[in-house]
Amino acid sequence: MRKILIIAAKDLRETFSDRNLLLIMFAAPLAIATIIALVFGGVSRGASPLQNIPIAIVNQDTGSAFVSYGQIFTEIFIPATPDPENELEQLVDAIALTDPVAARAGVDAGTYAVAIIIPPDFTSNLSYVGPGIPLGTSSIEMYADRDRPIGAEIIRSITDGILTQLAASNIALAAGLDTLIADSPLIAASAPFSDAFNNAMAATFTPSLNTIQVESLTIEQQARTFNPLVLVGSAQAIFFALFTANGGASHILEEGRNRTLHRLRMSPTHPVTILLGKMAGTFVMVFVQLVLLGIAFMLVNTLLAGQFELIWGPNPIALLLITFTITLASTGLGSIVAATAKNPERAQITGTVIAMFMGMVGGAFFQTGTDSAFGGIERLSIVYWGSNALQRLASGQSDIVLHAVVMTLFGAIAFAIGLWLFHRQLQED
Amino acid sequence: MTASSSPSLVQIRGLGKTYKRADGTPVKAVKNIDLDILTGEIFSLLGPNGAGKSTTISMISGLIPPTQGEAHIGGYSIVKQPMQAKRLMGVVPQEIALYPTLSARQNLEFFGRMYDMQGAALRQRVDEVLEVIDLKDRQHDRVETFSGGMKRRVNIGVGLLNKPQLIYMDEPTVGIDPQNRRRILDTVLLLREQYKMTVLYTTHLMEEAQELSDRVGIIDHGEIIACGTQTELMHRVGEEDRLILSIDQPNVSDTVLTRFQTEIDGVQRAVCEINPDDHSVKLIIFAQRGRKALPDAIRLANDAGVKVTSVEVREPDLESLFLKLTGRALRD
Repeated sequence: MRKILIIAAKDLRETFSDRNLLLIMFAAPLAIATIIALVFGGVSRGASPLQNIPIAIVNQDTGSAFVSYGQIFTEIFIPATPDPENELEQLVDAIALTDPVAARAGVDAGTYAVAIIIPPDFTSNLSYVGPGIPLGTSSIEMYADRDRPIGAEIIRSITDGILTQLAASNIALAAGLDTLIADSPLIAASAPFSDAFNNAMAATFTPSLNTIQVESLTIEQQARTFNPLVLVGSAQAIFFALFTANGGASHILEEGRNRTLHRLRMSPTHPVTILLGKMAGTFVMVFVQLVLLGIAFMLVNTLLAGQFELIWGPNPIALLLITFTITLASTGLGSIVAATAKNPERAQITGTVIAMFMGMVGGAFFQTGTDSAFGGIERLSIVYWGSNALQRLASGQSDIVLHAVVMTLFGAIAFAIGLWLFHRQLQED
Repeated sequence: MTASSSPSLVQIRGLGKTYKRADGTPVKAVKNIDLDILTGEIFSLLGPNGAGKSTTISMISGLIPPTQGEAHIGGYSIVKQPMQAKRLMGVVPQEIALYPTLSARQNLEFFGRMYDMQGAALRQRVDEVLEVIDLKDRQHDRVETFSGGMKRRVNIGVGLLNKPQLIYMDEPTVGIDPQNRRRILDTVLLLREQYKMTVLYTTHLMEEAQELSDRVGIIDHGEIIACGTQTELMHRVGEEDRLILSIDQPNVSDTVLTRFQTEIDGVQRAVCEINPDDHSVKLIIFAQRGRKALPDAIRLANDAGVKVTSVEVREPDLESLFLKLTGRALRD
């Protein structure tokens, strides 16, 4: 055990004396994530690079004799005459459903990023009733896939905008009706008048205030705060951790080439001890990298937000557990790559290809909001499992057991295979 | 204490290594070596590149398993008791097997720990080794900033850390300047004289083997073809001197070579050798008394139309023994 630690400590000392390596380990993911986070700050203001966010709209609004605000709302997303040049139509891929249960199930299954459910009394709650009677309030339910926070956030933002216009128009018309009725009491006796006004209002709403609430729900029925730094930072940190793990494991091939491995093997040290020492060094390296990046992202968030915030959630034990399992999985993957490569260069190429693949499908570069684009293949990615778990923890969730189990199993099996392959190579050398 | 009266520290019996090529054909890199290395001696394994020196060293240091035979170090089997055997050894590989981004001291301390040394004893031993390799003033500098000779000295220092009874040195002077080479050879002699270590030294340089060795084993094509003290080996060459005539033509016919043997008194044989590096051609004449045969040799060369550009007379040495045993020069 002592020699394992000595070899690991030596590897760490070598690593942390290499400025180029430190740059790749820490500066690159930090810079990339911060830049992307800043760009994502504009996403909610309409600068989204995304397209075809799948949403389901369930309009249960019964409306009134003259108007249905639910219908108006739905037609904004699903116009009667499609216009390919319309930015909103390019952004969303909306479908009208009749069953809210089916819509929620679609979100659960990953078919839709968001389900918008308009209640039956949506119009009636907002309609003008009579002078002096305050307008009612109404709610629209947004049921969102927590794994697609960007898409959900965008749809919420758009919905907010539409409803704000609706509410503002409603208030203005109510005030106008009050004034009109006060000037001409006969109008108060004319019931259809209010519907006529409501109808006119539906066509004239302009932005101002909002009395309509959007209830934002995730699959777990809890409100979610979207922090782009958490989303991008977690994926970037794991993506770069894959490189560190690969580089660390490949270091054993470097040692073989430099003959220091031969020298170690000529000392009274068991080959398995040497291999475990090397892998332990890589493990600690990746773990330290993830922890330091996590701290760095919190500091960046503090600078951007102007106040300190525990962006990784309130559960440090779960956070450490997930960091541990991400490290295990990354290092295990690195050890297999290195053990099957003939030389460090090949290990680097193979490792880069695998890291890029995992990064792409796992969300290190972009979140498409359409799982169908990868057909579930993202579940092969450590980046997906790791960043997804970190995002859940960041939003206060604790259901990361599956993530931890998947990554632990992956890491343990990969470690065992890598160790076996390396040991066999040493015996055959 | 003379080497010959010492008991064997290393016993090698029937040691062999067979590799398989990609097509499955077996290649015997080392064939059935029997060898004893005596306590306190410097034993040189001399042979051309690719002769099997490093493979032999790798097997007796536990790096690669033999496919046949066995080696014992201080009574411990390198196959069955590798940890005990390795504790008795120090290794100086041919390559600079050091961590370039670590300092000389950090390298020494790390490898010392691999030999279970620690604490004050380790620090003291590292200080002693730094004295021996004369690098105390540069101990905290990164190895990557060292010259080739300094790196070689640290490379040797690592091999000395555990005060080994046996130290393997695999061509430790490859690629360094004459000054550092001299320093390394002096260090090797010091190990035997002052520290009473047994040294197994591999080289393809005849001069080094002659200067350092108590005994020499000559290895070629994976086999020990001669082994003994230098006197014993010279006796096998006999009294032959070598007349080395540098000539200005690509080859000499067999007829002319035969004439040297038949027409000049005391000449045993003559061979023509082409240096693969500079393609220079030498006519080598083996004669009982070289200086006496020299005038006749030059005259015959002129008669045969062979243009001689320079002449050298060499007394018997390991090079001539190797040439006699294999028909090739060591550098081939």
